[in-house]
Amino acid sequence: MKPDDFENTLARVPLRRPPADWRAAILATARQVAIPSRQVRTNHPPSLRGILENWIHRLATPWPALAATAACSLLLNGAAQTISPALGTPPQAVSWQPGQSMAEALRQHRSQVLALVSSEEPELESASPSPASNPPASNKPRSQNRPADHRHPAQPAPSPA
Amino acid sequence: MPAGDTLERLYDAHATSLYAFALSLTRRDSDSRDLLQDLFVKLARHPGALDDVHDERSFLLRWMRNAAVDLFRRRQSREHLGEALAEETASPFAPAPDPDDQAFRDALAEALFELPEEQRAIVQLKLWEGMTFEAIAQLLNISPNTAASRYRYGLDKLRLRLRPLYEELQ
Repeated sequence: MKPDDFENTLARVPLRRPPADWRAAILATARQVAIPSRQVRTNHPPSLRGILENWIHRLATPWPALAATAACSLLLNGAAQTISPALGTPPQAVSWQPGQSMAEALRQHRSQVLALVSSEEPELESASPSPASNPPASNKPRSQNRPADHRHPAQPAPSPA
Repeated sequence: MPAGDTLERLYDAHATSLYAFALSLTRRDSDSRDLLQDLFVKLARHPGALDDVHDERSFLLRWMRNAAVDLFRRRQSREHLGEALAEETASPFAPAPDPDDQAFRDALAEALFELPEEQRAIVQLKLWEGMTFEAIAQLLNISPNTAASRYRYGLDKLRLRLRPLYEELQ
């Protein structure tokens, strides 16, 4: 669509320029407002996301070392689990088996003890009287078995009659 | 953030168009100054806002129109509360030394302000910014055909209104 004369006439009307003193004021305000907004942003209490970002950023170098350590521990754990069945049963499950010399010593000790027990039995029997050799107790009360001299002082002597 | 010299360059390159567009939209000098100020503050706060922009003028005019729409919304709520502002409208055109030219420019400003906002913006962008209908449609989020039809409606109204003065000037 070609513009006609009326459109050309209108388009030639110059636009009004902003006052000259606006330029410095607008640009100065823009700079002043922009700089405090940055400072205020940094003065705000840090958000959780900011803290995490900062922390992760600071620990960017140790992260690979930490990952390598974790990988090593996992490998060692897996290797230990594969080696332990080859070692057999755990120590507390193994029954104790004495050696040959210790078994021989135990056998000798047992035979000596048996020999000592068998040799001491006759002497013990001869030294102690047998229950069958004791005189049988009388059927009377013990008071009648006492001698006459052994009466109680408070007890009167029996009369001769 | 655009550096100081970048802000100055942007101001020198686009302030006149932005100011005239703001005047065309708001009709008030104080509002236009506020919008221009806010736009440059926004530019200073958003570093790299124009990095991937190939047409700075269209981008900044879009910012200006969005800011003006926000201003209209705030003003409507205030005017509903009976706080209508009584301020003389300011012409978006430069004063002319010749009285006849000045009369024509004043009449042109009045006729422009009588257009509906959607026609006024398109006439402004087409006649004084030299933008294509495609660029205007992209800026205003409308179709190029809609932009072209609104322009013709607006231009016909201006022609009808300014015909006596225009014929005198011819």
